[in-house]
Amino acid sequence: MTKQRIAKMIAFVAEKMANKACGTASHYGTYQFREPAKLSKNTK
Amino acid sequence: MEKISQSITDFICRNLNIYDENMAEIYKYGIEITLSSLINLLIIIICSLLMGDPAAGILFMLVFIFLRSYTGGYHAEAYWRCNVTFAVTYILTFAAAKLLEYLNVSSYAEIFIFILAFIPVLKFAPVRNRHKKLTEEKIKQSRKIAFAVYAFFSALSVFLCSIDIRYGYMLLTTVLSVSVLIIVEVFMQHRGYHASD
Repeated sequence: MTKQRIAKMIAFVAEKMANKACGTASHYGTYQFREPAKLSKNTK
Repeated sequence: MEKISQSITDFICRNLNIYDENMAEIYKYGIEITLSSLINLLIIIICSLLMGDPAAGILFMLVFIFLRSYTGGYHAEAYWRCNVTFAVTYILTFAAAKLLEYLNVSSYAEIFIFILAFIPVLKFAPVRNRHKKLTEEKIKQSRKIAFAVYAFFSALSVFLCSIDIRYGYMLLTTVLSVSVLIIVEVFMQHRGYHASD
């Protein structure tokens, strides 16, 4: 598997997780994440 | 964790020729969330295995994820504090469930605890957070979902306890822990330790 393919897969998962997190009021875990401003604007 | 996320983000950007800073920030956020979720899951698996009850750990995660995603609550500013808080919350929740089981509390007492624990959810959910801006529409939607999830788990808990399935107590104490974490966050914001907006 090429590096490019691995990067593509990680990017896909990361973007999905970021969008999913943006859809809820809070992350269930106890760490204080800082939501990217662009993500907030795009999905709300 | 931040360094690992940044390294993975750099790897993505380098190999996919991404120069957009906003996209890089979204990838980093997604990677951080994924890694943190995996670590939290690992903490609960280890703790529940050590305590000899992995099913209780799974139940805790299920209730915690579904309810806290819509109610919000205490969040630590550092990863190590977050992981310690998460482990301590689980251990206390498990111990409290064992205590209630030992005391064999009645359904009436359970319902009373659920009503009491619902007060912070009703008053503060979703807890405001300066790092996650919510629109009015999102707040209303989250409140509705939080109430529905709360009601479902409460009813399920009372039902399970009534037919002598001890995991009903674990459900009760997990819901209670979410409620306590709401109070902790509201208290910290009130005292100025955390900002609400």
